[in-house]
Amino acid sequence: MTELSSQIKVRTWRIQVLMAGLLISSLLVFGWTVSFQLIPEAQEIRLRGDQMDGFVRMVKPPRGPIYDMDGYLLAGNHIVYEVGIDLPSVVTPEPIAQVLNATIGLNYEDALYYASIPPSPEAVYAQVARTVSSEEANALIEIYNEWLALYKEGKTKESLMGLVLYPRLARTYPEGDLASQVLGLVGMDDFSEYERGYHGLEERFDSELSGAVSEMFVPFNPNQAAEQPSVPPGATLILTLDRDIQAMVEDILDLAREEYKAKSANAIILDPETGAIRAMASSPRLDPNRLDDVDHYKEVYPEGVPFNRLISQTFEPGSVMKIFTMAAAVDNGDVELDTQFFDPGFFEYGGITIRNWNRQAGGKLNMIGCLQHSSNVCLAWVGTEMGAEAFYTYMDAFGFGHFTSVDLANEATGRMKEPGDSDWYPADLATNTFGQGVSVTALQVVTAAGALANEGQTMVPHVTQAMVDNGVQVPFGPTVYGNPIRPETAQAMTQALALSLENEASLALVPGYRMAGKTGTAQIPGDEGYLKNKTNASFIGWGPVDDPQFVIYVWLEEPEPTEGSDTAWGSTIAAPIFSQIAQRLVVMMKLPPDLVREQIGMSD
Amino acid sequence: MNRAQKILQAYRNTPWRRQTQMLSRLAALGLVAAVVMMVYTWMTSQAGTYGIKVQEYQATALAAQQNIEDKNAELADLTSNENLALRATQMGYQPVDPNRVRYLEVEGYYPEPTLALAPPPNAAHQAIVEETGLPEEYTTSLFEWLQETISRLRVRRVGGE
Repeated sequence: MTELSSQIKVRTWRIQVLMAGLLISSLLVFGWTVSFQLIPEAQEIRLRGDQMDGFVRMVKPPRGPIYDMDGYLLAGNHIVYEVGIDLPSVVTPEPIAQVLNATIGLNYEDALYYASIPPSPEAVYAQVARTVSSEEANALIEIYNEWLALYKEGKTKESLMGLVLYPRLARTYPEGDLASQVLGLVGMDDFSEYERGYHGLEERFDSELSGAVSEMFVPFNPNQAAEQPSVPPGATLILTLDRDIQAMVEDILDLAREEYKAKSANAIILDPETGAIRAMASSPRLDPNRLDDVDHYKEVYPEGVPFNRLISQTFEPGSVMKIFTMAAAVDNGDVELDTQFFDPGFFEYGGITIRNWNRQAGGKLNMIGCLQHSSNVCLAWVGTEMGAEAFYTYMDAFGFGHFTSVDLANEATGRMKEPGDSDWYPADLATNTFGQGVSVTALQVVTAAGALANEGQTMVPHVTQAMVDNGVQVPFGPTVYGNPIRPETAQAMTQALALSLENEASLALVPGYRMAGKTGTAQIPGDEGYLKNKTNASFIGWGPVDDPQFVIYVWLEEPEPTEGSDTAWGSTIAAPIFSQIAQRLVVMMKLPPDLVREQIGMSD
Repeated sequence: MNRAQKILQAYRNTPWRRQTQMLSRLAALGLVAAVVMMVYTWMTSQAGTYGIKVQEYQATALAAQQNIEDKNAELADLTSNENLALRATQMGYQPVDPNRVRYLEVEGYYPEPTLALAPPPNAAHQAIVEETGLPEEYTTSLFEWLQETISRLRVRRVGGE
């Protein structure tokens, strides 16, 4: 027994030593790990640990496409590449710089600087180019593969390791500059790392088109791989614009701007019944695919020129305003179209003397004659017969001085001074009647003219006819803007203006189709009165008269006078452009001539 | 105690037998631990494999989505107004002269309808409901169900009378 108990004691002592040893070792390991939490580098180590867990990826759906009314893609997305350098992988910076210089045209010194950045926890990646085309990226990939083959065979020691390419989607406009001022463009947001829409539809519907952005943590540990969050795609827009009509108008405007050396040539085609805009064109235009070409941008948009002249640039409309003055007076019962007026060539009102554009007396005229001869004197008299209150109430109803509520970004209101404003004088009533002292946008003019072509009712102009969101197509129905005049007035004015064009054998006439319309030649106000020999030449017209299907407004900004004239007149410059557009338009709209429609009972 | 029992007890009490028993228990414990670890390892590796596959599929889906967008844009570029006009000109077509256009009345012709890329709101809702084949508990609001039930009861009562 004694021997047995001594053996047990020896074993107990050994176990105690072993246990003590284990305990001390455990304490040492524990203390060692605790020390990591206390040393100054602990924070950095923790951060590096977190970075090794994974990374946060932005899940962003492709930006929604924009189609014209027939389903042609006007704005979509294509693949571009971001080129960067994975700094910890760089072995030799020089060849990387050489390749970047040769393939994507990056300055060698800049490329070398990026490739030579010492890697650190804060610097692991350098973006050297954000948007590289597929062609350039393919050239880069080809060179990289050639190098890789040589490197594996041990034939070169120079390394391109660290060069990386990331594909991503970027906005593209397959039709180039077509309707660019309507579509707008997409660029980097100044206040975030995302792209956003600027101008036109891209800005107006930016949140709908871009869709929701979601963040996703991508772990390096595949066990923790999570399902990608479901992100609904950006909305799709279907426009009222007709690509072929838009292209036709742009072609005509390009030629006209060149011929008349105008600062810009512009036109809008509106469906008066619905307010749908079929074409909204300007020359010059920006190609939104060439945003990196600063010279191109500055050429199209010199300082102070808005992105879409037709909705954001205000100007004095000139004589096209006379149709609204006359319509208001007829509707208000102040005059009738056969009311006689003797035009002596001048009219004194509010302390100023109004004179005609040709400084001559018009003689005895009825109201149709006043419009035909574009008599300032007659219209000033008509306006004063109405009185300020009635005149400005009608102009308000036509929408002058107000937003048209078009679905495009950055619309201007223009200004129509009214009694009660500090800068309104009685003389303004007389000048406003023929389009002086009032500023409007081209879209306001065409919207207001819609009332004359559409039984006295104006419609809210719009370029989107539907939006497809989450698999559902939501149509945007026509919206009534107002009823400034009665249907009878609208019909009478349309007939009067058609007769007026026929009487003067206007260059706006369209063979086979009866059109109504009015020219406008507006002087341009400067700091010291009106600028000499500078005008805005315009024409507003609609047709066919028996059932108007379109309203066209043509506006040329500061064209040069035609040969033998010292003034660029709307009648000689804008009117023929209207005719050219209308002649092509009726064919594209499959609209038979008046006679044919009458024969088959299509006309009203 | 008979002889046989004595031999059995002696056998049980032998030191080597005790060691064997202990080793057996340890081995059994080790086996269980190994099985647990094996199952855990297998499940972990499976989860890892599928995790990688999920990431691969996500990358493939993203690449496919990008390619679809890219191809759509490429197609639109090929069929752009400018390109089509150029090709038409090369093929000898010319813009139509309005004076040479002949109009024919075609019975039953209707202008092209508005472009539809998706169903309208009501139709879309109906399509989803029909497609899912869900019972009315999931597709009808409580109020609608109450209304329908009352109307059914009324019909029955009227029919009964």
